[in-house]
Amino acid sequence: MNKYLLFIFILFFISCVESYDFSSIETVEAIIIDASLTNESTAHYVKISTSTSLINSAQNPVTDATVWIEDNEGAVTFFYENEPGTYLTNSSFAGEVGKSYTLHVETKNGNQFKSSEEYLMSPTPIDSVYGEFLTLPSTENGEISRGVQFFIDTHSNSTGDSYYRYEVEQDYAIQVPYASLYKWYDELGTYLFRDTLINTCYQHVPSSGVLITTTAGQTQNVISGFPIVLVEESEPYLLTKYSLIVKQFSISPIAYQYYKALKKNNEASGSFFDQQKGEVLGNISGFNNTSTPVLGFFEVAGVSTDKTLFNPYKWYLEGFNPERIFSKGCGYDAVADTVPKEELDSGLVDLTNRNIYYFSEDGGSAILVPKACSDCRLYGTLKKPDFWD
Amino acid sequence: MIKRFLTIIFSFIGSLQVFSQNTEIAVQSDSIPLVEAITQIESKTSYHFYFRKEWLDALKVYKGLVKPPYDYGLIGKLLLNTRLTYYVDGNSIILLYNTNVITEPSIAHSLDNQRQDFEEDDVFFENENNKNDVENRLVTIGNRNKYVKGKMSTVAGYVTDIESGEPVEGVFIYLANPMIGTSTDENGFYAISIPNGQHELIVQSVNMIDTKRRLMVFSDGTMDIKLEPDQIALNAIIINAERERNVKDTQMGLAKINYEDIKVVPPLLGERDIVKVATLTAGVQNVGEGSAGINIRGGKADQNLFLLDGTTIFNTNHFFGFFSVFNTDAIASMELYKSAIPAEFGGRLSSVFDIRSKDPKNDKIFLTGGIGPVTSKLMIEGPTFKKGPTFMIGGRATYSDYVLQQLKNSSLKNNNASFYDVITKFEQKINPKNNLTFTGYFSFDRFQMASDTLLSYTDFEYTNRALAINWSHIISDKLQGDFELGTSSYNYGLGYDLLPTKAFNLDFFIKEYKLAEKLDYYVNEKMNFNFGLEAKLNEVNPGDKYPVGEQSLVAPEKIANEKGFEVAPYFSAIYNYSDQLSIDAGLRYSIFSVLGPASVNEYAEGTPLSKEFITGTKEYRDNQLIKTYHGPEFRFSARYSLNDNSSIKASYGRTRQNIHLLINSASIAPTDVWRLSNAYIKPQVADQVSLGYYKNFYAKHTIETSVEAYYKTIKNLLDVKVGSDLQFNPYVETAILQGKGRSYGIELSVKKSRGWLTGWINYTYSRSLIQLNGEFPEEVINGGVFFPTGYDKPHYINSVTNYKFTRRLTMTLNFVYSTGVPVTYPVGKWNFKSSENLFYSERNAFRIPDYFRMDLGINIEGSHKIKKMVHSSWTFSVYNLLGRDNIYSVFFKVEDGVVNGYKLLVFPTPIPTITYNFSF
Repeated sequence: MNKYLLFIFILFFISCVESYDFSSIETVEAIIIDASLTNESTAHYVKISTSTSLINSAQNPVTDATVWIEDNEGAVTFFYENEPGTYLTNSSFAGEVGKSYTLHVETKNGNQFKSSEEYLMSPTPIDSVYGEFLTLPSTENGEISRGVQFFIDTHSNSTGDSYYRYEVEQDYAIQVPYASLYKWYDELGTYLFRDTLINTCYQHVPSSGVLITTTAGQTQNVISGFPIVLVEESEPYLLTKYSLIVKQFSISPIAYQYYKALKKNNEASGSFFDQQKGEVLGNISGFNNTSTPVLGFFEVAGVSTDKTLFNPYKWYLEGFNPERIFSKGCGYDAVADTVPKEELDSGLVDLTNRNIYYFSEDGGSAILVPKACSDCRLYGTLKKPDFWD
Repeated sequence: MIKRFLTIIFSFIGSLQVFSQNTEIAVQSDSIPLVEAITQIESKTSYHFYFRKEWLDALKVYKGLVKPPYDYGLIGKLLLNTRLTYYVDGNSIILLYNTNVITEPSIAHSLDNQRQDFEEDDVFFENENNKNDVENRLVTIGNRNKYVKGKMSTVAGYVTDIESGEPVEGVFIYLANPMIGTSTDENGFYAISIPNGQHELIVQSVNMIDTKRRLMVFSDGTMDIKLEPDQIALNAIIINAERERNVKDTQMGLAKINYEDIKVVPPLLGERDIVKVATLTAGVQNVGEGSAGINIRGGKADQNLFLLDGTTIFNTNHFFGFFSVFNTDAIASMELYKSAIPAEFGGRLSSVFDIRSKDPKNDKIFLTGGIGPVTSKLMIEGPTFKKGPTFMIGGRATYSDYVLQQLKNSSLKNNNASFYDVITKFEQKINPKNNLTFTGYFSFDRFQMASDTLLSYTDFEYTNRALAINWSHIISDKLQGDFELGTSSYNYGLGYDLLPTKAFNLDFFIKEYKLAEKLDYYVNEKMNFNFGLEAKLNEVNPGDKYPVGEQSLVAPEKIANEKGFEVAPYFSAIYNYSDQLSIDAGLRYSIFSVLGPASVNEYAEGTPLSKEFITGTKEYRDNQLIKTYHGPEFRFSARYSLNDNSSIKASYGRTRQNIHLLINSASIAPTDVWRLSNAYIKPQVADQVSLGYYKNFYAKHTIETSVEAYYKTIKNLLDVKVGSDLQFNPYVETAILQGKGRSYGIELSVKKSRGWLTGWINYTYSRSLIQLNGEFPEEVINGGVFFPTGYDKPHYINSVTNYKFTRRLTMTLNFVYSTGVPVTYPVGKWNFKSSENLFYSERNAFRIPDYFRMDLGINIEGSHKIKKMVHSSWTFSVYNLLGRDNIYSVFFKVEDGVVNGYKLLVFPTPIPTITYNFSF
């Protein structure tokens, strides 16, 4: 509800939000431990860093720490520093459902941290992931935005409540309108037919933010129509092909509470009723140096993954009309340039921002188009996601 | 000089009589009038008595008493059982009425100093009337043939200005004995019901020369009164009394606000607001523009008890806090107790807002209204039928809804926000000894928001309801009782329907049933007892959630209702030990019982109250006692007069609070829930000592000054854990922290309430601190040391200046300055599971910039000719005249890896408004 207060005020032209200069705020250092262990056979990570100043975007990794987990049977598994501040298990390690784990971290200057004991909950399979074309008022300006909202359904046969965290990765294909067929080789002083087509590329959008939900307070242990991601018409994701990798982490109620508090702590709309901010206590504590705050959480979860490939065509039929990113800047008549083949051969044509689209039927002239309209690699990579096709 | 002074004093006394109880003295057959007894004494001694004849009119004494020796002892005996007392000045014996006032040393003191003047002026009491024929002439009212002895007749008429012919409003017209009074309305009209026979009617007014009329009343009749303006005269008798109160009253830490004060302060968005006016007095602060919640002497926003005719109003805000729920037109006065809260009040730690609705006019039907940019209001009042009750009904509503719909191309178009409130009062004067009033109140707020995210509330509404029945009964000459029966409730409902599978409604309510018996026993001129009993039954529905729509998976769930019963007997005595020293000592004993049905969560020993440590629940039957909290609340205050116009006051008071609002933001949100003390939430207890020095200057009381210092400690002050759920939480104890509170401050105040230029300025230095140092890490905030609360504003200055150009044109300028409130800023940034997070400082380690605002108000009264159908006034006001960018809050967001700071400005530009008020 809080978010709307602002709108009401605007109604009377009596309040506004302006940027605020906070450069004088001094930074306080805290240790951050972001740790995850699941039942998947993969390299599980523990990332250790210190908090950065508000105006600094660099990371401050904590290197050379000793990191290990101990299960309830006393078995110890070490994590090894893979890149500065990131510690991994070997890639075949998997947590076992029903076991409990405790994380230990000892930094090189002797500070010791330990998590509480966390049980690995059994994963719940995802029933389905699907999208629906919706029109919604936008968060930014109050205007109506149109887009495809993706939802998740899942159900658990176990009694009791389930708590889930989601990670959603998006992959989409992007096609340029006039993919260049020939490539100019400076060193050869000539052009050759491309052996790799650059018409379709793929872009990966990693998961962002903390997405959680629960079945607590419901009649059934079912998640139905939980919104996971919205693709608006202004975004280029749903032009051709699109896929979602949804990871569903079955987490403990305490982890859920932690994430919820963390989210609340990050929410600030500047309304009258903004909640009290402060430190959110996780499940890791320092036990020989209490003066340095410890942030973060050791998440132990059963995970299930769903990979779904979507063809946006059906939403087009419903009225979904994404912005064609090439419709404005890549009108053929506006961008295509015809040059005589001889001129091209002479190497005098500037090709820094242009590509050879193709040659006229008689072969006498080359059609040049800007790279932005002819090289998909400007928008992604040529490598197709593993599970496509 | 002395005469004027005496006029003030006696006018004051007179005015008090209007409000005090009737006195009836048993007539004995072998009695003689007191006047006669006095005449006898005068004839046999050299004493000369000074008094007002009407005081003695009905008084008789036992004949046998009047015998030698004719000494003070005899006089004492004669005056025993009356409210008269006497003061000896040489051979002059001055009789004085109503000891509470009369024992003030001022009179004695100044009489002593200025005896000469006094003697010259001794005509004042009996011969003053000679100066004016009109005053001396006996006016006959009604028809001699209709005269019935002992019957009451109504005298009515208009009071006008002799020069302009305009009606004079607010003129006090009363008989001294029996004490019957009334005042004129806007049309100068008055009606007073008085016993048939000969009377002296006293007429007192603001800016007019006081007068009186001798009447012979036979039956109902009319009498118009013309008054002469007194340009340099007293502002008002009542205000005089108020001014003296600064130094004379035992009560300290009291702010009294009446309708006139409200009219002075420039309104915001056209709405005059009694609660907002209160924030312009010393020691009363609000968090910021338009925010709900008042902090009194470092107290939390839920520590204020708002009483409307004795019944609690739980949510006092419309529209998030821009307006208070009280329709100012329907309010007669508000008394705000900040310290030395009388023993009759209890239940909140910091203050009592005792708001009294207006008594309906009893002569004819009146219509009053106002049209403003956001709201309009209308009130109708008057008599019903002959001898029937008088009534008042007032309503107020906003048309913001309409405005919202007019906005094109805006998401607001789909939003709704509206509110209204209705207040009604019936008053039945059964007889001079019994008066019955009935007050009803209803307020409603509703918001419907076109949502911008899938996980927000979409629909929200709340209501206040209150019913109060007050019966004031004069049991005997010395004992008066007030019986109050009231019920009130606050409930809200919110709805969410964007995700069909999660659609639900959530209801909350808190109810209170109250029965109070308040007795006032007049022991003698030195002693007065107030005692009684207050019983309250509170019921809270912390949350009742149910699914909406067929697709909804939400399980119906209800958090069990909470029930608490509080009984508080109290007794207090006001004792005027001497002219200098007056003491008010009282004790209230609060017994709060937590009652079932309930299932109380049990936690493993040695663990924090946290969901994972619940070992089981214990069930309690309906009305089964779960826990009792009880304790005494001492209330003590004393005044010591240093001289005529300065005094020292001290007070100590303890208050207990068993009903807690769970607030997690600077301002009160309408969705905040009230919870009662229970097995885990302990009552909050506050102890406050305060000390003050009061001095009035110039013509005795033109300028009032005061210095008050206070120190307050609070036990079990409630706070909440960061990020905890307060709204629908069956384990609410896990979200709560209780710690020690400490606040202290000094309030300096200067006030001028007389003349063309009036106003006040207050400076307050105050601190408000809290310590949260529990057993477990999650219960410790800021390392367990005292830190400033979110409403700690060390420096606070407020001022109101009113200048009256003519009787119709007044201008007011007010300003407010305060230190910015403490806030928690981020001091670092961190990444966690693909989210960017802020790392916050210790709680309230920073402050937002200081606040300063100036407002201007101009009030133009329309012509007040009697013949004119509609009387009107225009109010033009500019809020935040200087357009200063006052920061309400500062907040931070991580956007694309960059932290951006924002400030919320409320009313950053001058807000002009025009309001039209009318009555006919």
